Amino acid sequence: MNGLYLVFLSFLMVFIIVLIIVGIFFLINGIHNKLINLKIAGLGFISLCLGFIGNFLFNLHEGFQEIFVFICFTFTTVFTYLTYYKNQKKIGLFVIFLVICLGIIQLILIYASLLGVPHLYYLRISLDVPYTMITFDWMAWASYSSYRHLKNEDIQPWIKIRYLLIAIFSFIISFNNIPEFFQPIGTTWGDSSNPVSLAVFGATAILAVTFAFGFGLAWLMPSWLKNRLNKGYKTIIDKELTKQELLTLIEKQLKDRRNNK
Amino acid sequence: MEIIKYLGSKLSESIELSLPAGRGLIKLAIKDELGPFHPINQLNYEKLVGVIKNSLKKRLVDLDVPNIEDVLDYLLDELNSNQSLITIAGI
Repeated sequence: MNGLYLVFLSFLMVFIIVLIIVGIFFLINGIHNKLINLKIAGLGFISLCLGFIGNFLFNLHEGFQEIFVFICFTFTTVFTYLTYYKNQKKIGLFVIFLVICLGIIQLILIYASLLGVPHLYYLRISLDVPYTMITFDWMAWASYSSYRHLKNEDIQPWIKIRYLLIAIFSFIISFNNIPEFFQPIGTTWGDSSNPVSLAVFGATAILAVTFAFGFGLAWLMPSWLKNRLNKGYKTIIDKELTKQELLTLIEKQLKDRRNNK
Repeated sequence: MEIIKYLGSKLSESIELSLPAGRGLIKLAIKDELGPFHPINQLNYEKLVGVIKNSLKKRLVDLDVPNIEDVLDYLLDELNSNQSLITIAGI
């Protein structure tokens, strides 16, 4: 049982490491490209890892971790809004507001439990379901919708695959807290002497590492894989024209079009 | 940049230009709006909306293209639907 616990724990470590790398990748690119959405996503993912590290390595309580989960979920929702729906302010702000409200409820319930208020567990994890699902399924849906829009367009294939990977793996991680319904109350999460608790821990760890693999691959796709996915795709390199040459070409094409009508 | 290529192809489609000419016109409008030295990887949604509404519109007026408002609305729709290309294809 202890061996299995260590395997699951190593899955969680991989999840944290990949998420830190993706977070840093977002931050660097956000700064370089002056894209605020990437900076926000980067900070969100890094903060989630800080929460996990604080809880697991430094034994800071679950409430500490939940603060960082709250930051991550809110920032992820903001990222989805700024990346996919910037022109839909009402829907975007509504979803962000909803996630913030659910996050605050989570924090209140966790701290209430820590202060000894009983019978809050199932209420908390029941509300954790919409909290997690809205955050990640919104991103999954946004990415899948964009993919459907673009799949027949002249876009490099690796970019289409990136959309699909984001959609699939965001959808998968949105089920992350479902195993918690089976966690025996009064048992430590991942208690290797309790098979049910260990199974719950294992299921969560497998979902997390699966997400890390797919999400990491989507964003940190190596060049050789991009090239392989782009095989057969003709990259367009436009002939260098001066401003005047370009305008002459455009005027000629428009004139030909008018004459042909 | 994929978003420029995409908007260029949509512009080509709507005013019946060749693909390189459509892309070229978008690039020209970007230079008009943001200056010749603006890094292409630092284009964002708001800047592209500005490019379409201002400098591209002016270019299309100068070229005497018919139904300019329809063309611009179509491009703005396309940009709104596929704004994620700026980020997803940009890094």
